[in-house]
Amino acid sequence: MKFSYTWLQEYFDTPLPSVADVSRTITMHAFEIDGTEAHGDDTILDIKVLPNRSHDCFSYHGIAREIGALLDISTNIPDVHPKTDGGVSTVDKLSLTVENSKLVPRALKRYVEGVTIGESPDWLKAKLAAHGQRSINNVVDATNLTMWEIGQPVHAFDFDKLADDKKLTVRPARDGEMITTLDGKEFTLDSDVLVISDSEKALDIAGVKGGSVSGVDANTTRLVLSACNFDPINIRKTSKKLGLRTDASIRFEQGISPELAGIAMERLSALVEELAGGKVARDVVESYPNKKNLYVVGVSLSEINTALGTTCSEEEVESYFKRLGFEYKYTQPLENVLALAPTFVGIPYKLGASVLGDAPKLFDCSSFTAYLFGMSGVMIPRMSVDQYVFGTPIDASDIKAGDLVFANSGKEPIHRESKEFMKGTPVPEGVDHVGLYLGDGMVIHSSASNEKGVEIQTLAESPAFQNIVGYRRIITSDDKRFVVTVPAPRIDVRIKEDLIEEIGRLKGLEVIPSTQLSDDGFVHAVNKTEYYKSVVRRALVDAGFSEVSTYAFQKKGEIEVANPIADDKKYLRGSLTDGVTAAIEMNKKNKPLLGTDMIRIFEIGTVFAKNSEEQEIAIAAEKPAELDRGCAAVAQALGVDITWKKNGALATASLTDAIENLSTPDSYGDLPRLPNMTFVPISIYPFILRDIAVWVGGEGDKDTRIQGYKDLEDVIMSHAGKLLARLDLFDTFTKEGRTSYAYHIVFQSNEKTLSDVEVSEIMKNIEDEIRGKGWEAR
Amino acid sequence: MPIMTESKGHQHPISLAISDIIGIFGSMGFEVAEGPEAESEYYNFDTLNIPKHHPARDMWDTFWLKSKPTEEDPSTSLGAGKNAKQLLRTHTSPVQVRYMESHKPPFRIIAPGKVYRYEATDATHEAQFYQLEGLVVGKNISLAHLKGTLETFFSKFFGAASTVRMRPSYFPFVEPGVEVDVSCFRCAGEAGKQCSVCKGTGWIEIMGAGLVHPKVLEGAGIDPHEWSGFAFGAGIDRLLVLRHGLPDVRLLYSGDLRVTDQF
Repeated sequence: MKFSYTWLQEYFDTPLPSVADVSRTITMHAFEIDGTEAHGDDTILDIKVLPNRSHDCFSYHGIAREIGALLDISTNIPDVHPKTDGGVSTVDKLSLTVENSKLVPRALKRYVEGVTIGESPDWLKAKLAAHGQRSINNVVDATNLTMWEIGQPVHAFDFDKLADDKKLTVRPARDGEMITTLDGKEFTLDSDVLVISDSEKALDIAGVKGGSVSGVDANTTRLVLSACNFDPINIRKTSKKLGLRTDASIRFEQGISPELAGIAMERLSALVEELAGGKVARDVVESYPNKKNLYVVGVSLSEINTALGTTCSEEEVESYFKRLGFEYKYTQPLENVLALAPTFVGIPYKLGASVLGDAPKLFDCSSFTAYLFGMSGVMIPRMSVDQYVFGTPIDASDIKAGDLVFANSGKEPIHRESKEFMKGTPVPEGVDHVGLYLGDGMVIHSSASNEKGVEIQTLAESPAFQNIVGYRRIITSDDKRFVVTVPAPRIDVRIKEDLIEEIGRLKGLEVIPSTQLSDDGFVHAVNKTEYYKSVVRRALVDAGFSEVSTYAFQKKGEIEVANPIADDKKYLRGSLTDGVTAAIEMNKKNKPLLGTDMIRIFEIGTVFAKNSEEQEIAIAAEKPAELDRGCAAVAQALGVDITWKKNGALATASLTDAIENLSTPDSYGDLPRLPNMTFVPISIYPFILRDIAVWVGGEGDKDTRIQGYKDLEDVIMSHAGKLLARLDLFDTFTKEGRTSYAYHIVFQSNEKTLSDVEVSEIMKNIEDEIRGKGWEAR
Repeated sequence: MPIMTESKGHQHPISLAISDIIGIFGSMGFEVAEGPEAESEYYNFDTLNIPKHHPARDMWDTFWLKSKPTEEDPSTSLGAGKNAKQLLRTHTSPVQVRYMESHKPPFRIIAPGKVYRYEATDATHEAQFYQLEGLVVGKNISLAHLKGTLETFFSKFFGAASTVRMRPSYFPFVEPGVEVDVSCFRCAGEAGKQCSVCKGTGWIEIMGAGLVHPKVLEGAGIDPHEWSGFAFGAGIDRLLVLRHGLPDVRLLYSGDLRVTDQF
């Protein structure tokens, strides 16, 4: 997302460092910067917000908080509220019904009257312009500004365009229901799509785009301001189905905190009041049935330093939490659990009570224990059977205060395997109840069988613990823990690893030291497939064959790709045949350039059939005898008989089958390594081949003869220069004390198509110099 | 410029690179693991903490396969069982999960292999390419171990003393997630803007990595309270482009011996 540097500065009382410094800090501690561009006196930073932070950093407030934390400077993000009019009430004017609060966790509407639609002020137009957006009118601009500031999409309806009963509903669309969006496009909806509707018609594709039927226009005087929170999956499906990605949908599909809807409603109300006048109702109508507790996540100093490989102090960690605005306490978890537990005596029982929604007002047995440990910075699974698998087993004789006691009441359903943690771990003894041991034979637990929900009882007498199946220790270390309350917008911080990431980021991942792995006793085996592939490659390379790698997609095959990249790439290859055949044909044309009189190639690759894939080897050579030699080399190297499928110049076989019964050695032997070289670009222009044979020198020993052809090559190279693509000695012949050397000379330019005339000129010069040296061209 | 006609053939740069990599990591105690290229949605996404309908799935453009069952398997809470929708693996990361399910820690593996992305091809993008996956699971594994391991690898692979720099990143199957930059093996940052490899920054963006997400460990049957690990993934094609100045990744799949013969 793009951010204006000038706009970001508004959230800081002190001047920000230079754009370059801010960019570097963000890059090394948070997000990559895709670029910066000048916009008048301003600079626009294109910040590549990571997908796990889109829910808070697709907004100015989010990025300002981030910059503040990274640079350790305080932000002044305002907490804005409208001056409401005591005489105007939303409840008096409209009603709101949410049909499915799972899909719409929160919805807020507010009535405003007496507004004047008009132009936005220059400061607002400038902010829109920084984002390449055109100003529409003061109210629409206010909704866009609110979204950019807070990351919460909001909307304004024209109150007078709603049906007379003014009953707003957030409901599934009817199959076939039509809506025209603000930009005049028509969409046909179905029941998977949510709409905000009045009693007659859909007003808005919920979470995606507003409808034209209720849009604000120049004559609007009364408004319904709207801020909702939606289930991200539903919005994502709707957006994909309709092919409609909007600023709103990309925010909702990340999942954003429902708390933002309340903040945004206040901000939008104040903005409308400021920009369009009018009276803002004193109240809102709201649906927010499942307001959640803030997440509490714990981590110890040793967990942080172990994972990062650092030596942070307590003070250092605390400073990072402070910079992030994370409230925390630093406590000994066992003491905390034992101190906290008795404070809940008498809290009522509710089966399936949620830790995030119901605690600490309602508990069941395992939500009670999960809550106690969670509030002490030790996250444990939600269900009793999972807590049983999670904890460290303890003998009855070793039990101490803070351990969990598990029972099987004998009343189905009894869980006999873990459900969430290490899913499927067998628990044959069966678990359906858990309590916290307090020492001295006492247990505290929440049970339907208790009169008062949470009670302290003796283990011996508690009816719920008559069939104890085991004891588990949760806290096995005396380490204190940071118990962090995560701010609502940071829905990415849910487990201790997320806190560790925050510490690592703020400290700077670039300062993490470098450590080698120590020997942990792991013995690495040789991979059979890789080993035999390397054996086959070596045998074929030694036999003069070169390896190619061709495409896995082709025109025909058994396995069809649902979304092919091209018509001739619709299937996965069932054999390497087509790719290797094409490679032979292509390479044939380049024989002089390759310095060979025959193409010999092979490929080893995956081929696909219904429900299976295997490694195939394909060998190809222009002459049958050469092909046979290649096949024989493979069979000999593997020491097995191979069934080849031969087809003209090509033979294929299943490598997977060929090596099936072979054993794997202890070592790969000498594996080949990449050579040290820089790739020479391949010219796209045609080459020209000329041959020359020259009698060189007179009588001479071997050294003289070698000197002879070296001299000859020097002559050829000096005249051909950059145009010499290849020089191959293909024949030598000694007679009567003289030696004849025959060469293929391949000319090619990287810049143009060479003409015969140019090459003939070079050849003539070469021949002239040869004659001048007293040699003889044959 | 070769002068004599050669009697030996040449190995393809990809297989040479893989041999090189197996040798280097082998000297550091890493085993080679493998997995299928036609993979299930379950292993490619679900087990890697990339749930269905999560926006993070957009990070991988996927080739889906037609001829396998497309019904969601209701038998798992993930919404897609092991026999659910088939695809061409978009990364070698599923090999991590397959290995973890069948082996007890500690272990260290690499998984070099072909992967597929549904995207337009150009000089730096191919619809098929090779990835190098790495996974270490042991006691008290840290980002410092990741850094040390990669520095050793890059120093040997590029043949120049290499340092690694980590930056924040996000991949659903690691936490924390990091982007790995390696110091320029060509100029070590001293050549200025002339350096064709690092463009004068001194750093090359080379791979994604991180500490294995506890959900991934646990989902594969490894208790995250006892074990931890790091994982990384790099493009082998890109390593070749950097090391040898290859101008276009598509040359690697052209079947052209004018490419192979240079290696």
